[in-house]
Amino acid sequence: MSMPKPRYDENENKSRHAAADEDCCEEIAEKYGWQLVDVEETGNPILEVDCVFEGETEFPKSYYDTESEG
Amino acid sequence: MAPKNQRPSANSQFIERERLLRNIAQQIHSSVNLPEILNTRVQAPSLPEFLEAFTMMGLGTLTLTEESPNYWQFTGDKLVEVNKGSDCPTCNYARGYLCGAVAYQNSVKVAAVEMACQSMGDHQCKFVVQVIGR
Repeated sequence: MSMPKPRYDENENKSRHAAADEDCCEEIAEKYGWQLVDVEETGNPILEVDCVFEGETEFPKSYYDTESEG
Repeated sequence: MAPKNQRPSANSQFIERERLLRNIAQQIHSSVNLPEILNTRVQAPSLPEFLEAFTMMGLGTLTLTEESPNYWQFTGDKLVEVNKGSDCPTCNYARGYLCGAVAYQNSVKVAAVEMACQSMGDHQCKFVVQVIGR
């Protein structure tokens, strides 16, 4: 299983990852060393915000992923 | 030792507090309809919102294609679990997610099968969710 894909906007050079709230965005930024530039409301009651990060950000490969799993 | 009638016993204090709380609860209930307020404040996710959240997480696209009281059919596209060349369906996370979403929305027990899968060369993944109990 590959990792979730971010929504990357080439024009503005920003990536979006949905999250439950703003605190989660800050947690992600701190954990992965990404620069959080904005938090946008999504209108979705499950994932209420989009965390907007500078550049093309992608979660690192899962510890459980192996080459054979592709 | 103080006479009993000068200081209420612990039991009578408890009864008095319970009476006060009951009165307050009755007043609240008579002035407002609490369930209606909760319904407007607590927004339970709908099935389309569950599907949207799946896509927002970057896990691929799930679409509801058919719905009846006991049966739901979905298609999946570019799901994160797709592993080309497999000889069996691989999208177990998506299958479980759909089970959870349908069960939550309808308060039923369900089971799901992945009938077609892009991992096996099918055009789209296809899931069937069926009620198995209430």
